[in-house]
Amino acid sequence: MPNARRIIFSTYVVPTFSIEREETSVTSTEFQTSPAGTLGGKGSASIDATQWGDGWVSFSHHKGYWEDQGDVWELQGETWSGELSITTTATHQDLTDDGSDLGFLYIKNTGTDNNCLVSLNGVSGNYYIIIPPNGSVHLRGGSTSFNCNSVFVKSNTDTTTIEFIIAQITP
Amino acid sequence: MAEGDKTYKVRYKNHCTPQERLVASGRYYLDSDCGRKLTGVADTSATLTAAGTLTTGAVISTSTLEIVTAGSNADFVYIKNTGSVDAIISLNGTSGNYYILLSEGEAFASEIHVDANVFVKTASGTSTIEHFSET
Repeated sequence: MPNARRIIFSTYVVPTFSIEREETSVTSTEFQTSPAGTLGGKGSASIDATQWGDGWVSFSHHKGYWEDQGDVWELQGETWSGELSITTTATHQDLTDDGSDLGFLYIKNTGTDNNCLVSLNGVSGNYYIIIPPNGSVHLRGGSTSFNCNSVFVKSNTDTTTIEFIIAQITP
Repeated sequence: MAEGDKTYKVRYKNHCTPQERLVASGRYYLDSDCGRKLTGVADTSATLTAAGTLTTGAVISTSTLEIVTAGSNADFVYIKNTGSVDAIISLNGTSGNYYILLSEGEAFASEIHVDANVFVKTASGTSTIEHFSET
C-alpha cells in the first residue's frame, strides 16, 4: 500500500499555419504570429494514497477479483487491454459510480477514427471537451461538488476506445 | 490549396506521470497501478479557419472573466495560471460549474465544443492568466 500518491503533469501547445508557396506542392509551416512560439505549463497534483477502487486507472481489469469472474478464467480467450470501449450512448458510461471528490482526471482517446466527448457535469451535462484520436486531456478537480461520478464519456459517432485515470482527493 | 492559402493547425499534448511512494519522506516511483507515463498528442479535429491570439497578463479575481463566448465557434482553448493564486474554470457559463483547478504554472488545453462558454475566476484574491483560443 503506498504511503502517498501524486501525478506530475504538463501541457504543450503548438499553434502553426501552413502556406502554399509559388512552386507546386511546396508548403511551409510557421508559428502563428501570436504567440509566435509554443505554449505550455506543468504542475503536480496530490491525490489520495488509497483510491476509491482498483478501477481508478483503466489498466486494472474491472473484473479483477476472482468473485467477479463469471467464467473459468483459463477458458477466457481475452486479456484486458487497459482500454475501455465507448459508444455514442452515454448511459452507464460514467467511468465510476464513486462519489468521492475528483482530484485528477486524465483521458486519452486511443481510437483511430472518432472523437471522445467528455462531460464534467453528469450524463445529461455538457459534453464540451473533445478529444481527437490519439489526443488526451487532463485536469485537476477544483470543487467539492465535482465528484468522480460526475464524469461521463461517449463517442461522437460509432465507437472509440479510451484509457484513463480518475483519481480522488480528500479535501 | 491554392498559392497563398493558409491552413491553421493547433497541435497539443497533455502528459502525466503517476507516482507513488512507499514510506513517508521516501522517494517517489512510477505508480505501480498505472505502470507507465501517459501522453496523448493530436491536432484539433475541427478545421481551423483563422489564427488565434494569445492574451497575457489578464488579471482575474472573484469576479468572472469570459475567455470564450458561447457560440463563438471557438474550437480550441488554452489557459495558463501565471499568478500565485489558484484559478478555477467553468466551461458552461458564468454561473456554471467551476470544476477545473489551475495552480501557479499549470495549464489547461483542450479542443472544445462550439457551445462552450469559458469563464475563469479565483475563489479568493487575484491572479493572472494567459489564454489562447482559436476558431
